[in-house]
Amino acid sequence: MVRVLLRPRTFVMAAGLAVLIAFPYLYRLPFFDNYLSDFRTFQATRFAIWIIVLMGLNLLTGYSGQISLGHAAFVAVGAYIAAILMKDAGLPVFAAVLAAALLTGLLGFLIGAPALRLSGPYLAIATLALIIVLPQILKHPSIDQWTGGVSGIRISSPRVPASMHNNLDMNTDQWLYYNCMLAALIMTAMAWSVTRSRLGRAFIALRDSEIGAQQMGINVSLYKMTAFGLSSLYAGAGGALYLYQQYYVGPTSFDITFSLTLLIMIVLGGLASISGAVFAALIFTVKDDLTNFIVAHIPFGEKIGIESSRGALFGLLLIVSIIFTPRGIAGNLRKQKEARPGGPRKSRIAALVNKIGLFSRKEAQASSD
Amino acid sequence: MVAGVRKRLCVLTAILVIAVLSLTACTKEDDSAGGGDTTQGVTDTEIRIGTLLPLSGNPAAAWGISLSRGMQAYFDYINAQGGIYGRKLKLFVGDNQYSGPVASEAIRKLVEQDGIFALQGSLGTEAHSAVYKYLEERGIPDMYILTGNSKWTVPVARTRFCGLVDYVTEGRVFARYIFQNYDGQKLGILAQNDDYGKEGEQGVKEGLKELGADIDVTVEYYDASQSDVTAQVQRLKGAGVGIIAFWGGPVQAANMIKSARETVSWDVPMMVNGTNALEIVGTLAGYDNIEGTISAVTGHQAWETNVQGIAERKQIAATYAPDLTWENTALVGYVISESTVGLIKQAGPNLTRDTFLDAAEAVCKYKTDISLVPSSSSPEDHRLVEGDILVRATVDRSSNPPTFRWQPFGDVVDFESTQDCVVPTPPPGGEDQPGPPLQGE
Repeated sequence: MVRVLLRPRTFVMAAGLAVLIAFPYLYRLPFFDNYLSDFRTFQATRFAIWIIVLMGLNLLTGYSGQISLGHAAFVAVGAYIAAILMKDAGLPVFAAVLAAALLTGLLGFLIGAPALRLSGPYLAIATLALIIVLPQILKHPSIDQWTGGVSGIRISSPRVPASMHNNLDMNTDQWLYYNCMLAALIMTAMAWSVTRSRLGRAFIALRDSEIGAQQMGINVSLYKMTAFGLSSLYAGAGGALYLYQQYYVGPTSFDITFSLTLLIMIVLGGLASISGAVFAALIFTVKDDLTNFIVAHIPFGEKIGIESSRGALFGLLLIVSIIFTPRGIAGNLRKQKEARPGGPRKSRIAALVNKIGLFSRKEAQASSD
Repeated sequence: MVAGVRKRLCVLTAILVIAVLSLTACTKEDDSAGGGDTTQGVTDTEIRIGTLLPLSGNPAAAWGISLSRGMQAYFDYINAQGGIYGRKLKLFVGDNQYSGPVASEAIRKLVEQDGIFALQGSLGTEAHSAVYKYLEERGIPDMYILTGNSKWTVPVARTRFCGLVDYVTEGRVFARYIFQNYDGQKLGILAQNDDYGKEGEQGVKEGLKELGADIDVTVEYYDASQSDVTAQVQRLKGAGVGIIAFWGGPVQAANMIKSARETVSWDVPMMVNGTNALEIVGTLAGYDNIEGTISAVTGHQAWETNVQGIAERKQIAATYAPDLTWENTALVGYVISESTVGLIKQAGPNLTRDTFLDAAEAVCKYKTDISLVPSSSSPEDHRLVEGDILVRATVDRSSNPPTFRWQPFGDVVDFESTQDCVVPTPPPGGEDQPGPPLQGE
């Protein structure tokens, strides 16, 4: 146990967790109050939601190699299911989010069936159809008593529970942050677990060679459908939490641009990597802030009409980042590590701990190899 | 390996159970959280005003940029004269990219980071749908929204005001014209398949019913994402329609006009809703095709420089925003700023959200030198303008190249619901402040 606690990885994780827990309260301290506010807490909540959505997409695209241009459709479905369950069925938030995730996952699993016969660009086209068709379905008169038709659904706004407010001086934004961040942590742990399991290895085998995977005895159709279902489950959970935070969803809340941006983000963050999805969510959260910052700081920006070229600026940033980090941020960090002479560098703490001999013989051997 | 997975599953289950407990343990709601300082955004020297417009990521960005420059030009003009009661106006522009998720983040930034006193002239129905409840809960004045959905004003919220003629009222204005000129014929409505189009449709139908018109109505929809409406036009022709009323975006309006005249060779009279009374629609449809098409406005347009008020504003805009193209969207932005300034003036030296909203709820038969329809509001009526004047697309071929204009004709059709209002008393020293004339005068 002591050994586990002294691992550098554990230190980093504990520190990270501490920051995550403290973050929404930091702005009440001097120094931090210049940079943080409820708005940043709100953004951090969005960040947590995007982690969930992008983690799911990464399972599908990064690990299983299935390209989906319509991932936002599942996010929308999740948000709608949660909205209907909360509003019409009066389910508590947690149950609604869980049910939305499971139902969206099931839907994704079923939609995955036709995708079995398609791959590469054909699958991309089929998934593109999803996001194009969805708004029309949501607006269809036969179901608009549940979906609210063109006006979408508005649920009552979330409130921090009284006990939390009184005992911890917590406001609604902080409450939402902890809810979503907790969900993000759980779902990240789940993804980590999946990718290191038989299922994850099957996904990777599928991606690398379908025929090879088949030879290894992997049920290709079942695993493809599972990948679809699993990533939809993530999208559904993300969509439901989005709804909870936003208390509104409309038929065009998640459009094709949003869908494509998700895919771009996952490539920028790093395919087939847990940290890649986290980086992707981070970029997704700050991208508008970033372009606004640049727009505001370009000298003579007014003169060259920078206001109207935000889109072009964002495009330029994309191209630059793809040139410099072709494997995404996570991929490039890994590459740097691997490129060091003598393989991945062991941290000093690890070396120290190793010297002292706290590791078991087996682990000590492994790290000195 | 199996054991490892099981262990992980155990841990996950444990986390999940804790999560469930923590989330469901306390479901009692608390109302004391939230709320804020009522005079956020106002100091002795500054008033912070926000706006939420598409600046990127959507074709509507062209409007957003033009609107924001028009707004800024007027604030600069007021600031150059020392501001209102010594307070200068600062405009914070949020980019909503015409999308709900983006808007909901941008509004938080405006309110919580920039600390705005009020929001003005927000554009985009979907985008504003995602933020209007938030503004209401925070008590931030949500002034003169630039979409005409009736949901902004029904039910009335103390802080929220609509800046356009709502689509239902506009539909009633159209219905009156159709009844007067095409009674006994068949009306074809071509509507965008969303709030926007459906409210127009509803307004026309209500209007016709009120008038007891003998008019059959057939409705065709198109989806906002499609720009080609030829098929719908063909179906309307097949249905034997005698006049078309259109509710939707400018690209589709132009496409409808063009395909009716050129593809289907059909000389049916057409009406397009007021947000399409733009020069660009004429350019897209072709001048020969659009000639005679009817639309609606509430005030003088940017090109009417023979009107003194327009000429003056054009001059001011040219001084404070030299590279601004003077057209209707810029004028709308300018006028929105002017209205906000008018309310700030009327609210007097003690500017709080309450005094500001009181002023906004007490506009009485107010007309500037460029408005054609008087504005009134009350605590029950947050629609400033509830009438239109019709305009007809005319082409002047004597000039080279030919010029295209929306020419007003006929009388103002006004459905103003606030009739017996009292003109408010002007605040002390209000006359000495720059800005539009006061309500009391």
